[in-house]
Amino acid sequence: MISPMQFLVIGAGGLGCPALLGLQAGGARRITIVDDDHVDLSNLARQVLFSGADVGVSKVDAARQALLGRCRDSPPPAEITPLRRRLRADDLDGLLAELTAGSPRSWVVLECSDSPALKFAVHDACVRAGLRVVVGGVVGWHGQAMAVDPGQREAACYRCLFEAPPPPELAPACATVGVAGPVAGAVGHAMAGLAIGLAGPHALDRSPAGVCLHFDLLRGGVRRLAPTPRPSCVTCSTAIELHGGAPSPDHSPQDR
Amino acid sequence: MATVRIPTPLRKYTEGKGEVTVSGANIRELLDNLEGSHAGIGERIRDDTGAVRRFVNIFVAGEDIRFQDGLDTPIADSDEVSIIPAIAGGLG
Repeated sequence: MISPMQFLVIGAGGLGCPALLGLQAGGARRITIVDDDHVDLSNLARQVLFSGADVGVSKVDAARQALLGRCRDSPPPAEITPLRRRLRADDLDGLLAELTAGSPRSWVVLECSDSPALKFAVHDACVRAGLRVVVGGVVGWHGQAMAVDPGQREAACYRCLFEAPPPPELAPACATVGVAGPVAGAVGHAMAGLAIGLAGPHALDRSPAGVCLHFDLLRGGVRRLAPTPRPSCVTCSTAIELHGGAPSPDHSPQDR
Repeated sequence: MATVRIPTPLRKYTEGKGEVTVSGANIRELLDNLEGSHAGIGERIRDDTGAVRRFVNIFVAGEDIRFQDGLDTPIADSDEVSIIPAIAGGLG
C-alpha cells in the first residue's frame, strides 16, 4: 500500500540504510534523507544501500539513487529529497519547522544518527513540534526502537522511559564495543515498520505509539516494553502545554 | 535468588555472562549484592547518591520499578530482573 505520508530519515548509515529500504518496502514514496557524510569503503558491509561505486559519494545522494533505482517502474514516482547537512541540536527546531511547513501530522521522523545526545535532542524537538518519531539505537548484540506520538497522550515518549542520554563516559562507543551487523539491519527495518504503523490512521490500541522494542539477537530475544507515561516527564508536559493534547488541524480523526 | 539480565555494555563486569543469579529481598539489596559479586558494576547502574541513573531502567517481572516502589520494590526468587539502559549508539 502506498503511503501518502512524508518520512524524514536522520542519518543514512547502519540504521538509516535498512530503515530506508524498509520504508520503501512499506509503501513510503516521499522521503527526505539528512546526512553530511560520504560513503566509505568500510561502510559497505552494513550500509546496505551502497556499493563500491558509491565510495566517496555523498551518502544522501547515493541513498537517493539506490532508492530511485529500486522503484523506477512502480508508480507513483518516488520523491526522495537529499539534504546534505550536519544536524546540530540548536538548529533542529528551525529545520523541522521548515520541512514540515505547518503540517506536522503528515510527517514521521526516523532518528538513525550515531550520537546519543542528538537522538535525545531530535526526539525532544519532534515532541515539541507535534511530530511522530521513531528513535533507534544499537550496541553489541542489542538494539532498541521506540515509536513516539505526541498526539497520543496515553502513550509514553522516549523521555518517559529514559530520562536523560547516557553521559559520554558511560555510553559505550560502537567503535569500542562494536555492533553486530545484523542487529543494525533488524533494528533499522523495525524502525521502518514502527514508522509505517505510526503513520497509519490507527487508534492507540492499534498503533505502536509508546512501544519500545528491545532486541537481543545473541539470545534470540525481542522484548516489547510499553512503559506508562511518566507524570513528571518534562518533554511530555512541554508538548501538552504547546499543543494542549488537542488535535492539530491535520490530525486524523482516529488520533487522540 | 532472582535472575538478573545484564545488558551488553555491563557484561565486562560479569565475565561476559548475560544472566547472573543474585539474592536480595528488594532491588536495593539485589544491586548491593550484585556489586558484591561483580565489583564495578554498581556505579554503572546507580549514581553517587545511590539513585538509579537516569538513562537506566530496571524492570521486575516486566514492570518498571519507577511505577512500583523504586529501589524498595520487593523481589521474589522466581522473578527476572532486567537492567535496561538507553541504547543510543548508532553507526555513522
